[in-house]
Amino acid sequence: MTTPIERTPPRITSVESEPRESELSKGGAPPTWLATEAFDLDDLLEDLRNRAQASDRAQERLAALLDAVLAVSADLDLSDVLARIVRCACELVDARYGALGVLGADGEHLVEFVAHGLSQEEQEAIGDPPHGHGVLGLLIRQPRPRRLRDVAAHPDSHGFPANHPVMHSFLGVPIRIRDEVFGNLYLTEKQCDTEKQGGTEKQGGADFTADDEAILVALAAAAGIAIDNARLYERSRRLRRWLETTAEVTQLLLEGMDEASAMGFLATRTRELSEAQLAMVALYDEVGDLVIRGVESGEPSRAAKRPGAVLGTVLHKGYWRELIAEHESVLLLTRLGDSTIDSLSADVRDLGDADPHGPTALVPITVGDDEVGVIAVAWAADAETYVGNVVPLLAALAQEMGLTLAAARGQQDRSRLALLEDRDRIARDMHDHVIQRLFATGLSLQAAARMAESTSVRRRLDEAVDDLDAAIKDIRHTIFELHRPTPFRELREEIVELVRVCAKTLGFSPSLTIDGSLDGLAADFEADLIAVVREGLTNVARHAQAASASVRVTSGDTIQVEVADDGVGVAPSAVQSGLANLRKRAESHGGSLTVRARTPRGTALVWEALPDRE
Amino acid sequence: MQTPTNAGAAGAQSPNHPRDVVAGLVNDGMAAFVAGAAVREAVHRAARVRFIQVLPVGLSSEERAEMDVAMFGVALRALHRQRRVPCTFETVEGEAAQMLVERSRGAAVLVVGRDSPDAAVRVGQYCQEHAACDVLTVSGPDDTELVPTGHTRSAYRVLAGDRAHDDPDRADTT
Repeated sequence: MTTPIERTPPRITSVESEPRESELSKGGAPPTWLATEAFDLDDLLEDLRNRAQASDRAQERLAALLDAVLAVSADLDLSDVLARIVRCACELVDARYGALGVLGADGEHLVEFVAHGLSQEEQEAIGDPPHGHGVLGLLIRQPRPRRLRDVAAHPDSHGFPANHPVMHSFLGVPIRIRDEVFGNLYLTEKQCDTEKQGGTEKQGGADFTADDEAILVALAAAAGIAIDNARLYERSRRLRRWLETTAEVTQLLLEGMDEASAMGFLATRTRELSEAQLAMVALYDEVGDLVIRGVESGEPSRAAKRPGAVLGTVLHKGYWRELIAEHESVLLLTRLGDSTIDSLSADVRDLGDADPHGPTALVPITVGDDEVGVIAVAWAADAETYVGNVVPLLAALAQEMGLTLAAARGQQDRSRLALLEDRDRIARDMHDHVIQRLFATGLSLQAAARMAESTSVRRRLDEAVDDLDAAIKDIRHTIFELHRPTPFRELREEIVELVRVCAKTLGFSPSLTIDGSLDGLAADFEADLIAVVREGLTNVARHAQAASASVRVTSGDTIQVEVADDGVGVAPSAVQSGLANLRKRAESHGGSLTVRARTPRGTALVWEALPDRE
Repeated sequence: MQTPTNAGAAGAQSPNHPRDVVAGLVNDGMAAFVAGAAVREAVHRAARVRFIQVLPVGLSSEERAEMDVAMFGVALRALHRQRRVPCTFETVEGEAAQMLVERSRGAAVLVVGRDSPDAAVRVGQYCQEHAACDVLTVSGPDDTELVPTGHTRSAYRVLAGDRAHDDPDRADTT
């Protein structure tokens, strides 16, 4: 690293020889050497004083540089680091204005400009930040330190825009991260201390020195390391959040949450992590239609188009199938002023309340050769520089989701298969063992009846045979019922469908978790269960002003339904007739209904009853 | 896939965005090579690639949709593993050469298939003579030729020699 101290070369003056010379020249004249000696001594003292001051200044600047290096390394938030670098640079070299321009992926244009010394109002009055033309562009094309006395007089200068303060002295240095030029530090209007009554004050008009350049080059080297660290930290933090989301969705799906709810959750998390305006998840259904299962469009206030209303929509256009079949992600980018409207991008952005222009990523969900669905994410127009790093993360997420969905579907299929096998075994046992024994017993009783002498005994034996015959018929009927599609599946699907339909009214997709078997419930109990879910979600839609809601059905010794939201809560004056009905339904099954406030906000409706089983 | 909102205008160009690379996809059997070369140019320039398919007038909506999807597939294969390359897809109807010259106004480079010697319609030559941007002609996976703005192909050969391959540095300087 170049030392920033410019040492004054030692002056070689013979303080001893000069007096002798003067002494010799004057001969016997009155000794004037004393005066000469005094003059030289003053000169020497002045020189020493200057050197001491220069040394002090150099030490102060070194200390300031060290402080600046510590300051820029103190935080790992990239935007804070950039702002701090500019501020420290200005303080180090007494510049009135400073800026840090970040180069875009093309290495030719500035995509970010962090300024210091101008108020927000002044920056707004100037308008668009510079993009890297003029002298700033010179530093981009030839990344080496530049020191100018008058920036406006440089041949490359394009002049200042309206409302821009006039600037003269200029110092610019590139900031490198390893071999890559990250951006440039620009400083203008070197200030110097001027004596005033009562102290000193800063005044412009000075030129930047070689010392300033050297110290700024040193700061730029430290800044490069700090920026690299901040970027690595940001990247690892973002990656961790993406991995957490993958784990969350996997857990929800494998714990029994239905696919539609899990995809709603996935859309929400994907939008948050991508810092996008909209995220959508569509999956192929059983008949091969690509159906929207989750849409998230930011804050509830933004969701003017109620994204829940598009849940269940089939994506018909051939592009979607082609995209998934090719297993390729694509990043669409439309800009304000484009002469054409990319219809694929528009199709996605119209699902919610996204800007008409901006980047849109389409990422297929696949497992090996199997095509599962697609994730689409739309950003605001100003997110262009940011999305390039997100698309690979989205692709990784989609791949993980493909595996998770396959695992969850496999798990569901295995449970269903196990249930069907169990039913088959029971039916087989009843047919092969129970019925055969009853039949044998019946035959034996018939034989006994023929031998019975007493009429009353014969009649009673015949009645027993008739009863056995009826029992066998009942068992055969049960065996037949066991081979029909399971009522468990019907009730479960009815609840899933109900939640899906309610999503349209709510404007978002509530999460649904069904924990345990709903097999063999009496029809009236099933009807009550459906009524509870419907009433709970209707209350959320009507009164809660919620942004999210969840439905959890837990089956064990009792069956519990919990409908929770994050809304404004239940007003004491609210009409309670719906809740009264639910309470009656619970009490008729030996249960209860509780409505409680959630922390920090929202309401939870908990309905619990003893199940009536057939 | 993209609907023209006003004829003749080019894509938006902002001072802080690199100018677009336009892939001119015509039914000449070279769409895959053109798309591939355009993506490579876009990667090199960190620019957006606009896939523009020009269809003849008079196709039915089914035929048009079918060709749209086919073009989309070609572009997707060209974008293989280039997830960060931004793109748009446009389909226009009309005379290919004129439409491409019109649509590539404001772009950095227009990539088209090279005319075969016996071609009845010489799209590549027309673009080289009339496009406001550089024109890169393609006739195979590695067979490209760049003609800078303002030069016809023959004039460029005189200036730069009989160049068989694209020279990105040269492209940057035009």
